[in-house]
Amino acid sequence: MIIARNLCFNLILSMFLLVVSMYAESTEFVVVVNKNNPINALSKREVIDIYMGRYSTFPDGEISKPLDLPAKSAFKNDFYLKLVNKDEQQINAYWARLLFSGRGKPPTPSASLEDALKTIASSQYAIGYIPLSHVTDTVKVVYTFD
Amino acid sequence: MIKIISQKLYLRVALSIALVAIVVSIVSSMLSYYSDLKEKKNTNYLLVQQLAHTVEKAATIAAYLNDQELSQEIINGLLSNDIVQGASIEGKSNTKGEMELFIANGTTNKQKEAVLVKLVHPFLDDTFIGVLSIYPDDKFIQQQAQAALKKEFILMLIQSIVIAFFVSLVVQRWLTKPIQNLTDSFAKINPSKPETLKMLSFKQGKRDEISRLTQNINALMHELHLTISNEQTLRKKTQELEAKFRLIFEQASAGICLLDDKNTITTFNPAFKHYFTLPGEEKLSTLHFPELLNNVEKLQSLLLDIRSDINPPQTTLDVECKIGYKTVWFHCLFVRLTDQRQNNRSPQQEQLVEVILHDVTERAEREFQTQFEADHDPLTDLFNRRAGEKRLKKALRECAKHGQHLVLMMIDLDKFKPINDTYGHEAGDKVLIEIANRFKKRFNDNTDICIRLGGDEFIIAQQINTYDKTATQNQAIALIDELQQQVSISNTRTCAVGASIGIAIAPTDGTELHELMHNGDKTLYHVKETGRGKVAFYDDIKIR
Repeated sequence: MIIARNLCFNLILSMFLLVVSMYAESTEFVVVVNKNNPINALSKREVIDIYMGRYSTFPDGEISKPLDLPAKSAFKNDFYLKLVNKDEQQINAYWARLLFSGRGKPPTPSASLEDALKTIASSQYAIGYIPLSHVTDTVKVVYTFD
Repeated sequence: MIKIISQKLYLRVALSIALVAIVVSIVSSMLSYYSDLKEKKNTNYLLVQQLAHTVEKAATIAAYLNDQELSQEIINGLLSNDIVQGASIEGKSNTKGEMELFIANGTTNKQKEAVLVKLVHPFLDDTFIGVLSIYPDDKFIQQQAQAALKKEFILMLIQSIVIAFFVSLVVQRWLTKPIQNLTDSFAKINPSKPETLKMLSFKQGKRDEISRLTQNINALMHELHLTISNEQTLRKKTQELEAKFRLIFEQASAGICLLDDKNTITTFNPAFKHYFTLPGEEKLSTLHFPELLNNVEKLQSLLLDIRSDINPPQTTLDVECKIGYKTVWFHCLFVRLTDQRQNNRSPQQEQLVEVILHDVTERAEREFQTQFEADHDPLTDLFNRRAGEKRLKKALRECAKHGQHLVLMMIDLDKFKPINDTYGHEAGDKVLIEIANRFKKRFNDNTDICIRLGGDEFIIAQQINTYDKTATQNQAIALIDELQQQVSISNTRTCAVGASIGIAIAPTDGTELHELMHNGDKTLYHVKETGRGKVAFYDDIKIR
């Protein structure tokens, strides 16, 4: 019986994951900044440069503080896939390599999507990514994936 | 150079091989060095390329992040390779034209040989963000190649020397030593001494070139030995023969000489020379034979005759010639030499004439003496009757031939008998000799003939071209006058004789001798009868 229940649980889990991934596939992200940030739009390259640690500033020279969504969340994985066509593990490996040179400074992880939104809303230097469906007035969309 | 070092064949061969080997090793090493160098360079270039690809990702990130430390690390890592001489990572200049990243280390100025890797944006495939340049270390490669070259060269050198050594060994063993042996045994041979022509030693059963050479030399020497021995025997015989002939030629008492076609003396023996040279003279006065014998024309015609094939091949001649003050008679034998050896003598030599001459002066003189004695009266040296008549006959023939006259005076001495009786025969002989001398003095032409017929009877004959009776008469009277002069018969005593002359003239008074003499006699008789001491002519008395 226990075996049957386990089996059942596994089945349900896998089905859930499937649903989640299907959901993720369809997730559309936008890159947002604080409303007071003078930047109105960013190119994909600029987004990449900020998120992959090339520049720690916005194109206008202001300090940028990128935010990551929680680790092992579908959002984070999807975002990076969309942005640089790499999954979360690859991104982690990238940062891990950079850590040795002392230069590496990955985006600050947030506890949750909401937390991230809150940080962006409060900090002028913050930049984050959120699903299109979660866009609020408190943030300014600077980049939308095609 | 090799010549200076050694004359030994095997050393020279070895040295030559070593020399060639060294040259070949140098050349081949150089060739292999250059090909090796090129190959190594290529390999190196590939290796460097691989290296570049290995660090490409890290370099990309470093360039992407403009990360100095990371770049430095990468470049240092690259430089730790021996084959890398220098490396650099440069970022792409940004929009402001500044180059944000340039990290370089080592020698990075040789653009040509650098391995350049374009660094692609790690997240955007179509964007370049920098260049990674790695410069291969050519010096290191060269050093490596040189080390390889050195090793190879030394190996080849050793190999060459070893080969040269063994080749020299083999050459020495198989070639030089046998040749040396051959040379040594050859050196013992003295070609002038046939007994040293021994067989050269060689290893039996061997069939190599030297052995065959030795065999052939032996065969040759065997033949040579035989030939030389034969030759020597023959030569000895020839020498003996020649000595004999020479002895005959040189010791001959007869003078022997050979004349060529110009009658020049080509060869003569000592006796010949002795005949024709005066004591103290070294050379013959002339080599022209006819001149040497003072008888040029006669000898030349004789020699011409003997050379003609028609005539018998030999002839003799007695020649009188003067050598110095001596008159010498030679009995000469002339022989035309026909060459018995048929081979290749020039025709000139077939014209040779051999002359053998003996000094026959003594014999000739004896013969002359005998002849003289036979023809002359021993007391007066005038012709005797027999020889005189012969001469007269001859004179008559000549006169008839040339239209001459012969005056024949028959002379008889008067008052001679009393001298003989009174003073003896010796005194008579003295008178006769004196009378004969007076005849000779007066009648000394070649054509004059004085004859003592016997006792106190004489004939004087004269061959004359034109007969003049008066002249002849005067001559006869003058003769009588002279004959009448005193004759000294001893230191203190003289005496005188008279003479009667009867003259007959040929051809008027007779053409035959006996007739002429008879007529002369008659005339003389007439004179004697009519008173002595006169001259009478036959044509005067015959009328009566």
